Amino acid sequence: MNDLQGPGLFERVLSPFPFICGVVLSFLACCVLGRMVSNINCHQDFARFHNHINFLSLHYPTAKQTLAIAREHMNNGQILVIVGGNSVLHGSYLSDQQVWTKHLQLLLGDRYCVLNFALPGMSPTEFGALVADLICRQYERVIFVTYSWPGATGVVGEADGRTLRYFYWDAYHKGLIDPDAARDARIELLTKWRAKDANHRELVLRSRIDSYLYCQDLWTTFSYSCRSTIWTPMTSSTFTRPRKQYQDLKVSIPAQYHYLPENEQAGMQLVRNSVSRHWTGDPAASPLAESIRYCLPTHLRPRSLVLIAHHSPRFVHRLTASEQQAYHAMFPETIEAVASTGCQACELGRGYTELDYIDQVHSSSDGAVKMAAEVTPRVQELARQLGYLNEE
Amino acid sequence: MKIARVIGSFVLGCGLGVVFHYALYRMSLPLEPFVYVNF
Repeated sequence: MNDLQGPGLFERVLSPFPFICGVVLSFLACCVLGRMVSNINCHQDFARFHNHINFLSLHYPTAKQTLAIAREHMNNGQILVIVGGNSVLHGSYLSDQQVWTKHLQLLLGDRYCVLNFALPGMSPTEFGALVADLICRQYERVIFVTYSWPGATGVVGEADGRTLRYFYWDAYHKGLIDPDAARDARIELLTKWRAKDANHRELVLRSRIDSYLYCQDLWTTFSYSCRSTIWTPMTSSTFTRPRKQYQDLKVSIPAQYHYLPENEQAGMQLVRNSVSRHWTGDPAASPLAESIRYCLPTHLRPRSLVLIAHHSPRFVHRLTASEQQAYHAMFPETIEAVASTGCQACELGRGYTELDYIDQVHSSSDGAVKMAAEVTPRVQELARQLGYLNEE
Repeated sequence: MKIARVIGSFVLGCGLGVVFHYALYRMSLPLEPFVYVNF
């Protein structure tokens, strides 16, 4: 058969072998580069994952990147205080100078290093808790601080997280997580329950693939340090700017936005619902205690301080007398349930005023100061109990 | 001319390899930002 047509454009311009070599070599180079940058802390002067460098703006720091932040602080011989949890401990709506962990660092002094890994919407035992778990493998002097709502019928989340499951599976497939009997049993159960959940299967597969290719680490680092390519409403007009150029909140939410009228009803309902979390049985057998056992690994629990947070008195005082009694009775039972797992627990916010909050749960700048003052002696006592202060 | 073709092909291939790697990252991102509900 005669070929009457000459070579096409691609055939004239492209040489197949160098082209394919270029594709393969550059792809492999990206994989190697991703693996290299994953161990480097690109978050200089880290204070917290503010909204321009967290999932709210489609920026998903990887397990290794977050571990690199913690690892950088463990060489000074300081006691690492890793804060996990949700927007309450993240200090949402407060500026970077008024966030409670800033005050906590000042009160604890140079002997401690406070790292705020709390994120809005997190359950108490995800993200920050996993970082604390991972760093404990390499560094002894770690204290983990998180929160829980009152009431032992509630759970602290799931073994692989609730909001940001990618973080657990990213660490899992990169071999960062040590075995823990209770957590591993729960993960096995979850895997069976989610067998038909396509989203979960995709997440696990994606994490497994990424453990070889390191796409997340490379391009998240690139987005943070060099050039972002992700458009979000939060970064709309300047979305190509590297995320490190976005600053944390510099001004706390003004007073006229505290206790917005349109949120009053929802806030009241949230507080009223919490009264129904009263547990009448053995605290050690409560859902709260059971969930702590499968979410927090055994070696981390003695180093964990769980703050049982009070809601704003603006809403608590509107409960009926019997509801208020039931509300306050939940705190001792919750503390007992948490303590039965080996964690330390204490109340946070008893005696605070309405002015110490900006809504039903988030603290104002005054409340942040009180939070730090209340937590400081607890952290110091836990450090003493764990023998971290024996050099003195 | 042949060398230019080889180098050009290689460079183009490198660009495509980087795009593939980046595409795998972009495919892992959700379509919309997470809607944070206060709780």
